[in-house]
Amino acid sequence: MMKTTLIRLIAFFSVAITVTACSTSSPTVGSGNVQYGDAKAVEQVSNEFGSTDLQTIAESMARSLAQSMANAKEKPLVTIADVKNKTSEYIDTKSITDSMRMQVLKSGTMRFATDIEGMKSQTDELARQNQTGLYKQSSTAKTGKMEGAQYRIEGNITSIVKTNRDVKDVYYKFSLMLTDIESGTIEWADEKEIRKTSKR
Amino acid sequence: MKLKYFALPIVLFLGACAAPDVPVSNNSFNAKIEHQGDSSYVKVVGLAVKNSDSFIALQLEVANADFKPRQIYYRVKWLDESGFQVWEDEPWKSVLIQGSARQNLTVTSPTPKARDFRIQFNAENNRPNDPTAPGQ
Repeated sequence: MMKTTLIRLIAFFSVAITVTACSTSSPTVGSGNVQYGDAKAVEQVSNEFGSTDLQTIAESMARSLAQSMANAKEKPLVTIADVKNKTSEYIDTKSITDSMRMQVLKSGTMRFATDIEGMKSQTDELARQNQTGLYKQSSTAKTGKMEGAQYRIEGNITSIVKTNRDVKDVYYKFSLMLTDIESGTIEWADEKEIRKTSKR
Repeated sequence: MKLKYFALPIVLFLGACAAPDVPVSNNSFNAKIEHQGDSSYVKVVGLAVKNSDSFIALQLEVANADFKPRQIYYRVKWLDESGFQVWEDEPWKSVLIQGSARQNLTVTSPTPKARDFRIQFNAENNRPNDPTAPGQ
């Protein structure tokens, strides 16, 4: 009796060890209560400004802008100025313009000059290469060679929020324009509207 | 006898409220559309394509056969001549189509490298009791 039980136990553990050794597991760490989602899915968690709004605005503006310059003989050099947030929410407008710039650059229709925010890093690097005496003259980036942008992009985002007992309605309007810096003329402008309504 | 008097107004009422006929989808553009399920209400009824300044411009016409507004989701995959995807996945776009209405959705390609496309189309209530939103 004892012997049979022992054989059964050995057989059971042998099978268990074999199955465990052969089973494949997902290459994950942790208990599994964290899930990765689709970054491009329509986000409907709340009606505040969200990832879908950011992606939609950036895509819409980038495509309109790229197409407006598709016939240009040379890729125009553009800089991005301020996009003002005139809504009552916190919206990172830099994140929208960064996405837009990335898409326009990838389309190959425009070049971008360092914007105001990036200028300090740019001048610091030039100064480091030229003034510290640490670099070979032949390999340093020369000062006085930076290109000035021909066009400036600027705009704003506004919102209208209305609520009653049952519904909250939010309307966003993102407007952008491209100005010829020398002449001061507006060469392109576009806007994207978004309406989000939720039950309260 | 009395029923006769009610029959005509009822028939007229139902006729007035009936959903408009939606043209049957054309096979030539159906090859360009990846339907995520069979939509009960919103159908793609037309697709126009033109090349504009080395970009592809698309105009997708959708029709809502329901009286109520219906939500649809769509995005475009941009491909080169060999069928390779030349642009990252687009964000899904959510559009509300008013009841018994037709609407044009226009899209422009993001890059001149795009030579072909596939439209991914998902309409709410594709299957009974399974209103799906992309990625959810």
